[in-house]
Amino acid sequence: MEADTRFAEFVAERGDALLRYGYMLAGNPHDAADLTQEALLKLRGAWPRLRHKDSPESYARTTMARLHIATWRLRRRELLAWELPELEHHDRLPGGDERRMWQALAGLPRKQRAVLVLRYYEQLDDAEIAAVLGISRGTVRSQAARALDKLRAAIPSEPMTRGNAR
Amino acid sequence: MTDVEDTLRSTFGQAEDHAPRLPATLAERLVVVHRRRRRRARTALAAAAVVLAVGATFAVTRGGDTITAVTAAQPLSPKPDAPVEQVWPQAVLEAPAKGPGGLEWRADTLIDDRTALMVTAAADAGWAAALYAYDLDSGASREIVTFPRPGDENGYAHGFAVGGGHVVWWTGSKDRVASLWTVPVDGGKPRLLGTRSIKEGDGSGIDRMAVAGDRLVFSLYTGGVFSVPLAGGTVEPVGGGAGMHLLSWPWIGTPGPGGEPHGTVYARIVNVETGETRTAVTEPGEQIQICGVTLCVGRSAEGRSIVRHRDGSASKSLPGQVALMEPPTQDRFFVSIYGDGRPEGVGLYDVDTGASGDLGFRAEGQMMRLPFGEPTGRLLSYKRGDRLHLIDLSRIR
Repeated sequence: MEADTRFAEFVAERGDALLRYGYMLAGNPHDAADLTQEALLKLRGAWPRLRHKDSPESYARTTMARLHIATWRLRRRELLAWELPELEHHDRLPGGDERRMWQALAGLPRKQRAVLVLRYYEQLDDAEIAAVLGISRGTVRSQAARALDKLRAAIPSEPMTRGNAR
Repeated sequence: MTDVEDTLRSTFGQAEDHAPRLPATLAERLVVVHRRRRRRARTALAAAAVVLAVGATFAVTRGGDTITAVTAAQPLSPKPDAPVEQVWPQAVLEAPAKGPGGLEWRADTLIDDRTALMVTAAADAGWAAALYAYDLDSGASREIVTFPRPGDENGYAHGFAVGGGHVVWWTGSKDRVASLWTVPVDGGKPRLLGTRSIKEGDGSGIDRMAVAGDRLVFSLYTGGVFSVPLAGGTVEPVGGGAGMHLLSWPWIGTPGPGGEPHGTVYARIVNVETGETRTAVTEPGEQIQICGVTLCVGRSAEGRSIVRHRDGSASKSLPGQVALMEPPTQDRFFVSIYGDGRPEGVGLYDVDTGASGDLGFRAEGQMMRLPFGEPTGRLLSYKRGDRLHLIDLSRIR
């Protein structure tokens, strides 16, 4: 089936990038894998409906962000199609601010985290973030501001490592 | 640029190196899962939403509603005569869209003629937080049970069914054991009735549950009907239930609604109390998709959508070329997407009288919300604005 072949090519080319993105959204490899798998399955389902102008990658990324913040989590209908090592990946992050930041991110509500991932990892502007998440630009701004406030509170700047205390 | 924004960028940058990698054969495996799920989407919807228009490629349940993707080319039903509350005012009931504690809730089934079983969803993750009995006349709600936060031992509760003064449900553990639970409708402490391995298959577990007399009965997604006393005891296979699926107690049947394609779903059913067996009649050229105890739905040799009795009699063509994923509930009603060339809304249709009512949904791009149904086929529910609408189909005479 031609759609299957093209889908397989897409997964081979872009799958790892999507999984990295899922990891930023979810914060742990298991949920990242779930999210990526769900999004890829939806992409496969939608493949015949995608028009040339629709990029499969942006479809998948939008789906992942929206799935991640959906209030009602999807039931895990399929067990994971692959095994992941039982490693706490974030423990391997270097020490210091980045490690504390990664841990502080885990404490954010999903929508706030998604806004930050889209802004600081995906480098989207607020209008693009609003379109991806299906929320208003005002909400993007307020969610981002709230999230940054929380992170500031959680990560007091350390002159020893960062140099420029606020 | 602030300090915290810098740190965020560098954190994400470093985390990239620690992200997991996809296995090389993932695409092939996803294609297999996709095919299986595409078939099972019908199952999920049959349980959740009464009917799913043909051509739907995926479905997500969210907040109790079902959203389904519809293709523009699919055949659709005609637009209903009037809003459903005008067509059948006696059957359409309302409740607030949020339950106690401001949590979203949905109507899962009816406890009795005037009481709905409501399930609230925890705000953060969406798992079932608590069950309530909601009095449809007075609007009062009473807590039945609050669920503990899901963990490895007991995942979140699902499969709610009511009978004999009890609510039953099941939870799955991380190592794929299903625990069967009950609590009196009047409230109390949940009791574990027994467990059953759900290791076979793909982890879907239990496909349907019901209360039958003083026993909880259920079937596995992979086949096999079992029961356990509501007083607690041993989970035992139901005689003649090997490889079968619960349809509507005492009827069990095969093939089940999930898994590989295998012809008419519930083509052969057995009444486990009387031993009566019924096999669906299929004429040459016909495609009968699924049967209930009485009715079957499918397509005639001429390509028309039909509903008719299991014995082949009383065949009726449906208006529009709709494909139902479940026989009409109450032997009369089906839900279908309507529209002129493209999906515009969702209607409730009465096969007997030809009457139809508009549920008032609108397409969201290529997505269309469908109402939430339940296995007994009596209740439909859906959210509209800040109100939950419930249709008790048994009130339509």
